[in-house]
Formats: sequence, C-alpha cells, structure tokens
Amino acid sequence: MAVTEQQIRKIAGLARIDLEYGKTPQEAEAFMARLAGQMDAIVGYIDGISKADTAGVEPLFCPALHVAPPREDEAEKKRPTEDMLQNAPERKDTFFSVPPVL
Amino acid sequence: MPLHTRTLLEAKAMLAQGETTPTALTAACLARIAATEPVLNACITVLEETAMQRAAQLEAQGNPNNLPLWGIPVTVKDLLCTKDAPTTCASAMLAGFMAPYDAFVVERLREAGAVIVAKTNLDEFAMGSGTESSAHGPTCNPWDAQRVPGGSSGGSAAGLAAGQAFGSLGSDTGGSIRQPAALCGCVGFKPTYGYVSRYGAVAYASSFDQIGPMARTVADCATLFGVIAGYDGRDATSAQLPAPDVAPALATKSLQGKTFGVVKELWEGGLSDEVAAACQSAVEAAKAQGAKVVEISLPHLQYAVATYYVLASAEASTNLARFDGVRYGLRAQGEHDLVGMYTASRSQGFGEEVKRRILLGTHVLSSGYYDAYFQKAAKVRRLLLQDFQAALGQCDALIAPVSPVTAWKKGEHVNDPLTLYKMDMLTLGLNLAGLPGVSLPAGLGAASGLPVGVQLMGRAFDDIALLGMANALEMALPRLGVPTGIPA
Repeated sequence: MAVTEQQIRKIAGLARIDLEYGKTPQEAEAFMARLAGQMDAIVGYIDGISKADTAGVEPLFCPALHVAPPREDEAEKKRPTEDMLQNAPERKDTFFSVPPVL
Repeated sequence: MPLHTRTLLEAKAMLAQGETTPTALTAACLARIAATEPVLNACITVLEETAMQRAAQLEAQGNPNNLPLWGIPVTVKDLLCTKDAPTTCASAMLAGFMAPYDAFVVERLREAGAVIVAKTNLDEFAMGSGTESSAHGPTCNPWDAQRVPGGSSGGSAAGLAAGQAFGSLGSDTGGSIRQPAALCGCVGFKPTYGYVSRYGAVAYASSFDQIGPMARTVADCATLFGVIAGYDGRDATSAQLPAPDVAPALATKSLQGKTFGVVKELWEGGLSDEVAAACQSAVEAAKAQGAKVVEISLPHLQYAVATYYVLASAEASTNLARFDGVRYGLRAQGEHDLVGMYTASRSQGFGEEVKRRILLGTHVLSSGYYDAYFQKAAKVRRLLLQDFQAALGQCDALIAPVSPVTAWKKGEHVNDPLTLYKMDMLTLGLNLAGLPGVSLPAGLGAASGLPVGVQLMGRAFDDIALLGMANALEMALPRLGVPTGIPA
C-alpha cells in the first residue's frame, strides 16, 4: 500500500519526531518528498510477507528457545544516586528536571 | 615482522615467552592507530593514556594466574558500555555519554587481562551496513579508502585489518559482525543468541542483537569467545551455560566426516561473479579438507529481508523510545513544555537512518497494521527457524557467501535504503533464527582485488563445533596478505 506524506507525519508524531526540525521550508519539502518515496518503496517491499502461508503457525517473537529461569529474588545494592544523575541534562537536587508537563 | 601484524595467539605466545611486553604491544597498536586513523576513521575514542597505564600495571603484576588475554590490546564497538570512556553509539544523541558501569563483556575482557585501546566506529545505533551513518563520520575500508568497510561493526573490522588491535568485540543484529569482517578481510563470529550476555550493550533490536568477537584468525576469535561467553543473570535471555572450553575448536584441523549444506537460495541471484567464484573455491576447499557437500533449501528465506526489517524496526522504535532528553543524552534547548522537549531532542539527536527505522517500526506496530506486519512477520520467523532446523538436521553446517558484492564505494547507495537493506539478505536469516555463524576470508575478488567472505552457520549452542569447522576450513583457504589502501 502506498505511504503518503500525511501518514509519515502522523507516524512521526507518534514517535515524537519532527521530520522538518531545523530545516528551511524548501529543505523540508524536498526532504519529505524524498522520505515518502523511500518509505513507499520499503513498505511496498515488506508487503511481500503477506504472500507467505502462515495458517496455523504460532508467532516467534524471540529465538531464545532455551529456558531462562528467573534469577534469585535477592536484595541488591543499588548504584549511588550520583552515578545515575551524572548524565542528566538538567537536575534539581537528586531529581531529573524537565520542562512543565501541563 | 612488525608486532601489529601478528595474530592474537602469536602475541600471546610472545608475551608468555618474554619476547614482548604488554606495554610494547599496546604502544605498537597505539602507533598503528595514529598512523592509520587519518585514512580510516575507525575509532571514535582512542584511550592512549588509560591503555598505557593499564598495560604498565599488568606488566608490573606479571601473569601469575595465567589470564587468557593478559596484556593483549583489543578494541570494542562504541555501543558497549565502558565506565572509563564515553559510549556514543556514533550518535549525536549520546555525545559524551559516560556509562556508570561496564558491559558484561567489557568486565570479562578486563578480568581476562585485556587492554582496551579504542572504542570503534559504527553505523549510528548499529543501523546500517556501511558505517556511513555515523555521527563521527564514515569509516573507510583499509583495502581501498574510497570504499565502505561494511557495517555496522565497520570500525572494528577496518581497525583489525589495519593492525590497530589483536581482537575486537562487535555486535551482530542482521549481519553486523560477519559482513564487515568479510568486506575487510578478517574473521567475525556471531554466537548463538543467548550465549553471550547483552548486559551493557545499547539495544537496537533485542531479540536479534548478539555480541561477538572479531579478529584476524578463527583461532583468535575462538579465544575471545571463550572469554566473553557464559551465563549472566543480568540478561534475561542469557543461557545457563558455563564459559565454553575452546580447545576442541582450536584442535579441529580436518573436516573428515562433516557434511556442509549449500543453501541454494543463498547462491541464487544477486551475487557478483567474483563473490560467487571465491565462495565456490571455498566449497572446494571444504571438500579438500574432507567435507561432504549437499544441496539444501530454506524455502522461506525469500521472506527474510522483509521479515527482519518489520521485526527489527519495531523493536528499534520501542528500544529507542528511551532517548527522550530526560535522564541522559542530548536535550534540545529552548522548549517550554515536556512533549516539545521530547520531540525537539529526538529530532535533533537522531540521524536520518535511525529516524527512518523508528518510523518504519512505529508504522508496523501502529493500530490497524500490527496484525498484517508485526504478527505476520513473527509467524514467518518461526517458519524460517523451522527451515534452518530441518536443514541443520541433514548437515553439520551451512556454507554461503556473506555479502553479495565486495565493498562498495562510499555514498553509492546513501539515498537508496531499500537497496542497502537487501544487501543483508545473506546474513540476517541467521539472526531471525538466533543461530551461530562465522565469516572468514575466502580470498580476493578476481575483478576488484577486494576481500570476499564465506560464512558457516551451525546449530544452536554448537558454537565450539562451528568454530572448529571454520578453523579447519581456514587452513585450506588462501591468505589475503596486507591491505593496500593504508600506510604499511
């Protein structure tokens, strides 16, 4: 099925990506046209899986066929708070700081 | 013979006999990095100081406990967390990111006495086959600097071929260890899914990602595998197996009694003449080593590329949701609400190929498309696994080319992602099935003079037997010599 620029914008919004970010209107227009062509080709290609006969086949989401039992439920020493905050773009005391939510 | 041209096992033997020292080896690799980086751009971070300090410390301690990699300089792909060096994933999103812990495999390398000399370049977040989509700039192929080294572990492969280290760790999600190894003329091993812990590896597609060794010989790869494999409770998919004994792999010198399956779908269509010819010679070499060769079919392999790009992109879109500018990574400035900050940070931080895969993944997971794409692809994945299991019931290993062509020119396919995706057709079936595979040099292409790789694929958790077969095959294959595109 064809993928339109409008659909790509909707998907990008869901993924929290602004495809025109930092581009001039002319750059954005050219980029969106190119991207739509690429996505259309890719989606057209992956549509090919519809031809596979999968009647009665259980999906396989992970190839780890070995049994991986849960580890023992033991208390662990956590990493120091400072370690967890060392890469924070912004912080306040011992919290990650973000712009207003509402 | 310059130190940097030795194999890992030769360097190890020289250390054991006192013919060289950890500092001499480390200095030789750092000098080689300095000499070749202006051409290659294989390293994102070079650890001159910490590596020399570490080598001096190891030298002072000696090797009373017989550590398997004592004093051996290695590199690691820059998506493996290291607490003493940045981990960037070749993305502006993670510029300067300092992980608060080492990846499991990095812990293992350190415990084994290795010296990490550099963190190597890759396609951004390991998404690519040419190491062109790196925010650090592209890596070049040491055989011809106008060409790509393959990817995504292209920095590791190019660096090994150039003598920057004696071994490296890469990751293979759809061929990212085997294909750059093939294009640069070295050896790359993708272990069975679950044999090596992914703890501390930045995730791209979690049900595919597998860390593995790269080196200049099969025996060197096997030695590294013996160090990094084995159970780790911090990875929920880690198999409860001890670190394997690699001695049987190193001792295998014949293919008598072994049967190799030639997967006809992997030899049909799309192969360049020189790749087909070099890989056919490798099949003949296997026969000369005593292997019996039979033709095998994997009927669902025709769907592998499409299946992989549905599932891996879906997992990528989920995994990369964590990069939102809150806890680590790039945060765009000047945004006044939370969603605006998320969107601006992700738009600024991710490169084009990463965005494309997030879009594809979000699309196949979105309402109305989930059943047609994600669920359907997961069903095809099971059929493909069953194909591999049936094939490996009839033979000991499958043999096939790694890449349909030798290294292509930089920029040749950058605007045609679908063509690049299809380049992965020979490698990613194995990742869908979670099986082990090893790529080794088959020779130089008759037309291009560039390296061609051949791969062996084996049964789940039969990794040591697979490496043994590769070791025996390697003995019958031509040596490639020295790469021609870099300073000698």
